[in-house]
Amino acid sequence: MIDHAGEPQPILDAAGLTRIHGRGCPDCLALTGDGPGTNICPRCRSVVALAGVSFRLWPGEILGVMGESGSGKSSLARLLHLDDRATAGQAWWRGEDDDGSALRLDLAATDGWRARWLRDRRLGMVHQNPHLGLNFAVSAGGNIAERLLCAGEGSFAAVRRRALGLLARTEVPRGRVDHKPGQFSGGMQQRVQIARALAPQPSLLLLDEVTTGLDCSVQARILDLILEIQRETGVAMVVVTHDLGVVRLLAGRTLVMRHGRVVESGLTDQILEDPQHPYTQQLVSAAL
Amino acid sequence: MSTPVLIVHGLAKGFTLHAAGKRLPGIEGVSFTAAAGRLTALVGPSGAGKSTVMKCIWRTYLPDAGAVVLRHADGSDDLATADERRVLELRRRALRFVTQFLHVLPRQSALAVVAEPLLGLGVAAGEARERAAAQLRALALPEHLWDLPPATFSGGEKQRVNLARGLVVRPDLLLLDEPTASLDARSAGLVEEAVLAAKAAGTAVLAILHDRALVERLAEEVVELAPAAAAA
Repeated sequence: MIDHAGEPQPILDAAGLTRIHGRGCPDCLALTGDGPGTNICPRCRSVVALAGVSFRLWPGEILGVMGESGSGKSSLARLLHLDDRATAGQAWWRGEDDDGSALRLDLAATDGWRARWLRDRRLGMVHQNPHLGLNFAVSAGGNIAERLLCAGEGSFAAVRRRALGLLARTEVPRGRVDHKPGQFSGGMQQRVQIARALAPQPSLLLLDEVTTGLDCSVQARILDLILEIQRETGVAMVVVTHDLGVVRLLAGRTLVMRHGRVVESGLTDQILEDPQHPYTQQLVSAAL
Repeated sequence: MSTPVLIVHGLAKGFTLHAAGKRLPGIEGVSFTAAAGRLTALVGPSGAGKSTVMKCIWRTYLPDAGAVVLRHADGSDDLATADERRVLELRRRALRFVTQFLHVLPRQSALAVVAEPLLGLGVAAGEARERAAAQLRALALPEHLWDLPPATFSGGEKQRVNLARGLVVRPDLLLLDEPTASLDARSAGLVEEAVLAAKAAGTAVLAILHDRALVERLAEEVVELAPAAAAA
């Protein structure tokens, strides 16, 4: 069946997300962006990291966010993970409260205990830099256990069992579970980060350049793993990357960002084979 | 006369290359239909736009004008204008595209590659594997290859995995881009048999075919494309 009487709701509905670093002025938006070719306001020198970013993410979907350094893609990820606050706009997350009741929260405006609750129980983030996503002072198992305890898992035996299960799923050998992340290869560090991010069974997983800087074969293994896990758990993902190959393999739809704006969005294969915007054409032709 | 599964009407597509300041002509005013259980062959010289038509139907290309109506079990949609989520849904259920290349994740076994589209439709893992196995058996892919990743296969073996992946969901419309190109006679024969079986099962097949003899043997309809006039 394709048609459903009750159309599913998006898990994330972002509208007009804007983030300006600096005091800002009334001309910031007009004087930055694709036309002016900059994200720095010439009048007040504020940095327009995001301007008017709107998109929807559907349950079980993998959405690609592609752009070069400074395009705003990591700002978007940080904002969705509540590591930063929007200057304007909303990002409505839909999900369930602890008691299973329906809950709708604006990720761009939630703070205090609800923000912590979201990060601990409903959102997962995997960073390019494992130092941002892992605690290097404790073992791989301890990294997972920390997350599980924050998510409210109480029994030591259950924490241990679940941590071992997650690390096995992300292909960390049983014999390495008690080692610290500093002793791992880059690829294994990323797999531990993925296990840690997945620990509370989040409904939304944010991946920020997770394969950047890794060997090709290691990248392939991680991308494979991400797709397998998506299939098994149904978690919705936002995949931020500068790498066209990553969106090609993972994402059904992709947003292309430049100077804090979404300049083009569409089916990933359409973006790569029939790009409409001059900037996307330039990106795609430079990669081939 | 069976009702058409695909109605292409007035389809046009050109390409604007911003950096070069150029507009490349593609196709213009292409109209044809494809019916259930029949093979419609797209023929014409290189540059006539056969692949462009296919990619517009699959929506890898955004058509400039025209309609691409797909009729399927749950109604009908115009692929030229359907929203992206809808296109992805139709690609999973109703519409499959078998190109000459198999793009899959490097670690997956041939059996997993073929079962994957079924899992995407919510078919249970066990049943998906059984149906994938039946499809691979029908295409005579040796059983000792099933557990291996297709990256190591010969061209003919890869193409059969690719075709099995397209056929396993029993699509309403199957798009084939030169299904027997660069295959030896035996592999080509197996692919041909699979196409005949798909037609017999009621799938509408639209295929780019170069080999005249193959068109004679497989096609009920032939759509001849001519190169569009160069735009100013």
